[in-house]
Amino acid sequence: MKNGLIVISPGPNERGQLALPVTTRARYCDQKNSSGCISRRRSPVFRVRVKKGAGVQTAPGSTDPALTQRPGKALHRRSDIRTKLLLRVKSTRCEQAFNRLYEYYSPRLCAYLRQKGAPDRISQEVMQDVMARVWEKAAQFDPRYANASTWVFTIARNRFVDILRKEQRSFIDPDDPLLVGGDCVTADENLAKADNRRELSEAIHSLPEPQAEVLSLVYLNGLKQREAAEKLDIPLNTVKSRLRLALEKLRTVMENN
Amino acid sequence: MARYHPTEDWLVGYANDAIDQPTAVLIATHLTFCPECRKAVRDFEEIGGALLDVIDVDPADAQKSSNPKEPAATSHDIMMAADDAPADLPRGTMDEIAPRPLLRYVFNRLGTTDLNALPWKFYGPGVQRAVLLKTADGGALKLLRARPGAVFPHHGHGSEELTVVLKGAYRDETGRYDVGDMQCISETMQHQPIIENGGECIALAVSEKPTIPTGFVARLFQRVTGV
Repeated sequence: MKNGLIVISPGPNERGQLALPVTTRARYCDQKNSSGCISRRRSPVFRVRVKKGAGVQTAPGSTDPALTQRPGKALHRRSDIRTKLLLRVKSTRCEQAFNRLYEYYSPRLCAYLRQKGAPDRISQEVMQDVMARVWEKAAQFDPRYANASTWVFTIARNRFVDILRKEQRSFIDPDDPLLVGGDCVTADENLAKADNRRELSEAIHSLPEPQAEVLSLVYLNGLKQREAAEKLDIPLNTVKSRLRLALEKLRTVMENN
Repeated sequence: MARYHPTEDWLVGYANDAIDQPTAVLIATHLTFCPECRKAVRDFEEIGGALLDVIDVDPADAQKSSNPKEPAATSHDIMMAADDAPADLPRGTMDEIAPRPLLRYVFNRLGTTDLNALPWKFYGPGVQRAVLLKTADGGALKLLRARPGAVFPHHGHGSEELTVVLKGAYRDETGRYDVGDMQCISETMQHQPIIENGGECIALAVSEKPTIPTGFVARLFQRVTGV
């Protein structure tokens, strides 16, 4: 099982083509570091405009009509390329667009599932199951709430729970009579936030290594903080504060306050 | 609107599926009452998406797509995995106090949505407890139900305990907890919840290890009830 290496992949080239990322490891950490390492390299062409949205994965199968409306033109223009491809799959069932998404996400999903502890054979199958769901459920994708990567991430997370933990994820039900406060995010609000939202991935790259390390262990390896503390051989409070600082920084970037 | 919230690590754990199911049920219960924490979870999911974009990739995993309409996955596990659309829940007396994630969990485990049909057991003067799940370590997901003015025995916890109020309110040394409020009680903390007058209090609680009674009476009490 790989340690939590984060390497920047090249983003789309000028023609908007998604080249498969070339995995060139920048630096390996000293083998003496028992915790594994995060290796990061700033790529000059890496720019991902992360679409701001309120991307909670609520109970699937929701029949909210807003989910099937075409997003506004301005919103579409600001979307990253993967979100645009997904919207094309949603509106025209374009297989070519889907294939490009598959090329982009399949190795990433395999890496993610593997880091979460799925055996290799299983992670392949779960990845294909996730991508099949991306295809089947594209009609439900709403770019006002999440960009494509967030959406795919939540599908992968849910299927991991379903299949490998054989449990049911505890979804919030948008029709729950006890639900307090709506989840309405108006398109205008989202547009304003899209202007403010810049390069979340850049922010991840600029995290100090100790913070990126903890973030990776918690997010990608799915470790509890206590387990991360054991793995890194540092106090639990240190893990908590590093994670808190990392999340504060990233949420600040998302809010641009 | 909830005023007491889980710390960030619980929400990150929920967003990443890095917490166990009973805890996820409890977090989802609080989230139903708390738009602020739901927003935080959305942000954490967005970070997850961004991490998916930058994750280290093995070129050997790269492959062309198969026909997207026919998923290649045929393993038994995947075919048997729960389908997305949850079954309808029968109406019951829990509807008024239990958010759907909790209702669904209780129905799946115990086959009922009737509050009075749960396995309530004596837990002290004016207090009852219904265990929804018991773990090997002695931890549990449980509902607690107490009459107005009831006082819990003073106790500590073998592990962190999370509590969400579903009905009524209670006070302890740290504050007043109302419907939707979530309290994280650390391992080292000891406290004595007191139920407010005005109505019964019902709360959902989860812990990894059993509670630790402090004081002779409480210890005796624990031996009697097997808490």
